Amino acid sequence: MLELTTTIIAAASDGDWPGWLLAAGPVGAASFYWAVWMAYRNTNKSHSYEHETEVVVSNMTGNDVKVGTNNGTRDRWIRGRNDDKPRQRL
Amino acid sequence: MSDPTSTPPQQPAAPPDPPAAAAAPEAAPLPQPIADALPEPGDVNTSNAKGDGLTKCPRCGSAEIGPVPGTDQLRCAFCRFEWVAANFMASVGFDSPIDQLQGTVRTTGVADIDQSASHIITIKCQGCGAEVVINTESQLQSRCHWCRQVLSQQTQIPNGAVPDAVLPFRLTHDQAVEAVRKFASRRRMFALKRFKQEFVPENVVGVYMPYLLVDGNAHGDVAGHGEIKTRQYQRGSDNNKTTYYDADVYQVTRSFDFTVDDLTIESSSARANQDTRMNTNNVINTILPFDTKNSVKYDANYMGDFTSERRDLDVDAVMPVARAQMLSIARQKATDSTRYDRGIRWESEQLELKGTRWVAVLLPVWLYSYYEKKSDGSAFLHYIAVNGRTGETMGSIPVSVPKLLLVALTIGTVLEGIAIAIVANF
Ligand SMILES: [Zn+2]
Ligand SMILES: [Zn+2]
Repeated sequence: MLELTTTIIAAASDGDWPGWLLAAGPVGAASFYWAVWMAYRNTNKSHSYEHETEVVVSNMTGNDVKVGTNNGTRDRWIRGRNDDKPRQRL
Repeated sequence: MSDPTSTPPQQPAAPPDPPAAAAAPEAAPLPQPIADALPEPGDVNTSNAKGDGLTKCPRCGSAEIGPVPGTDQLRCAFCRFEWVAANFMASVGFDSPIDQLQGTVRTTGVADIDQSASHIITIKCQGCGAEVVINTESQLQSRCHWCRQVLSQQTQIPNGAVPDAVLPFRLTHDQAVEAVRKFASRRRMFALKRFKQEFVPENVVGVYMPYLLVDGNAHGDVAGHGEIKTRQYQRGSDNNKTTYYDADVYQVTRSFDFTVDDLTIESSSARANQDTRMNTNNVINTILPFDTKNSVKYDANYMGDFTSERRDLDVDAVMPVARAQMLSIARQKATDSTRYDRGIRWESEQLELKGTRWVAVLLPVWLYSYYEKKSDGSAFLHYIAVNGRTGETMGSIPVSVPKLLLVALTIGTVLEGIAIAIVANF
């Protein structure tokens, strides 16, 4: 289903022709399936100990030093952004 | 901690003559295997002197003691006297400042498990002299078959079944039934038909689950790069615009001390396995946290009709989990101290763990379980778990895949029909 979607998007992405709309069916079906599955099975849930544990921070030090620019990028976020994934080990 | 209800019971003014046998267990020497398992030097001794077998009501001497539903109280069924076991953390000084912690501080309740230790314990009834067998894998109390008095396993034993502390059930069975019913009723449409047919929320059972609580005194070092947007603009023709961003790049470092209070880690290896392809233990994990500060000193009389699970993991076994969670906390705290609107790419992280303090605790969980028999003959166990203190509920409901597929494809077909109509008329 995902491959089909990609093909349709790839075929239709150039020009003004709104062919990407043809992805609506596969994408809609897959999204619905996924959303219901997660609501019932909750396989993505766990205790968010990073936020819900009693933690006291002290003696915070550190630097924020400008080291350059990243101009003219089309990326919305810094490349390799991971400040939203505290459990991912570096 | 200053809860007035937690003051120890008044000494009765005129206690009735205790049966002669009542004094015996306290004085009796410990059986050899138990003595072997007891305190390594330096461990905080949390073994209690109540003795196994009959636990006497402090007022009337009866052994009919049980939990009072919905409260942290114990009650004597004979004279109705009620009391609360002492707050655990205060009683062993574990409420002292965490930032002073050095090394690994353990209680005797988290002592390493002797793998060869038997789970089957024989308790001698001081009432009638009978010997009663209990399986400590799932129970810490039993009634004497002969005189019907309640016998308790109070002493810590080498198989990890007896904890330091227990957090009593606050949520009653009725409240748990309601929570399970509510959780499932919101997920009816695509639930497996058999699940719905066999749904009896009254079958929810209370289980005391084993956890290790750990306090940590740590230092974190995290470094990476962050970006702040300086400009946003669009290029290209009217119909085909692309958004571009300019950003300043910063090197970010954070170094800080932090303390973690009562991080709660599964200490049963079966529960610690949270592979969602194989089990639904993750839903039990999700109902954390508990108000562990209110844990009381272990007393088997809190068991009542509840069952218990046995701790089978040592501190060494869960230490990697504790470290990983503390490192994740360090990452989160570092991130919280920054403001980069294009985000941060953390590139290095380090945790220095200066001190930890460990407590073995039983926490109250209401569990509703359902065995899904799959077409290939295998079975998959689904849980709905309710936090026995806060009522937080999470669960796994078996899905009727054919039904879900049918509806998903129908939705997809309708959407596709609309899309084709639009494209064709473009
Ligand atoms: Zn009594
Ligand atoms: Zn007896």
